[in-house]
Amino acid sequence: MLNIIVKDLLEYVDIEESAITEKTKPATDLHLNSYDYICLVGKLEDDLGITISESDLKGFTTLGDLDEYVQKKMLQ
Amino acid sequence: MIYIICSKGDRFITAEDQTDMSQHLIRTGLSGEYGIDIGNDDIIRNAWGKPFLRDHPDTYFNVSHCTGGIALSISPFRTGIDIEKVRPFSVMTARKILTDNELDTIKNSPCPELDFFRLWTLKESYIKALGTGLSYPLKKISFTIDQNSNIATNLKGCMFGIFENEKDFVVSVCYLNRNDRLKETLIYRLLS
Repeated sequence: MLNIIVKDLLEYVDIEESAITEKTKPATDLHLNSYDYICLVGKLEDDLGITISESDLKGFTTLGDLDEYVQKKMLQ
Repeated sequence: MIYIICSKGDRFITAEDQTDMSQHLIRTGLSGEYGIDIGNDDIIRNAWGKPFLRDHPDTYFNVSHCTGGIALSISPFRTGIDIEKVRPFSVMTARKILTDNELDTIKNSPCPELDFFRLWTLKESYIKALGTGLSYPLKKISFTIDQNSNIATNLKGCMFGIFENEKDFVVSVCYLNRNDRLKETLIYRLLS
């Protein structure tokens, strides 16, 4: 699932794909701002057919956190 | 005080530039305006990552950056600020964060991109002032902006201001627990 998140993320940041890992922090490492972040979340919802609630967003520090959350959502 | 730095034309401020400039702006602003000299250990963050001054609980600041722009608000009121460059926006995101009335405003606007980023930055400035990050349901906040840029909202006890730079950048600022008129000094610098 991380590869889908990274693919979507690359639409918003100018960085080599190989530099992005599950430990990457979108806000501090990639300087992804809130608008781009909410767009990324919306794109993941659209691509994967899931709903990510606002209250869950505060739990995502790294892309690994987001990946784990998305995987759980896909199983529901 | 509100500080805004924007790049001219298509000049790009890199992520590293933004971090350096933000830190410089915060230090310069706090020192010049309040006589507060801060070190790296003087800024603490809440659970959602909002920075506060450890030893100056009555002085608040908030910084925002986007590609080509940085904005900083320093105030004795809890404050949040957001800057965005006006550009094509995601309709999917608009549906996620705007109320039905706000969506109608965008739909009927002669400048939908400008109006979208006015609304986005206003909402973002409020949740940044609260310090809760994107966990706040943005659709519960509503704004209308009239032709004279007067801002009406369903939120109580807070004040908003909006600044535009030749329609390239939009900056919104929010102050909590404040009802007077906005009279902040605006320091604006355009990088050549």
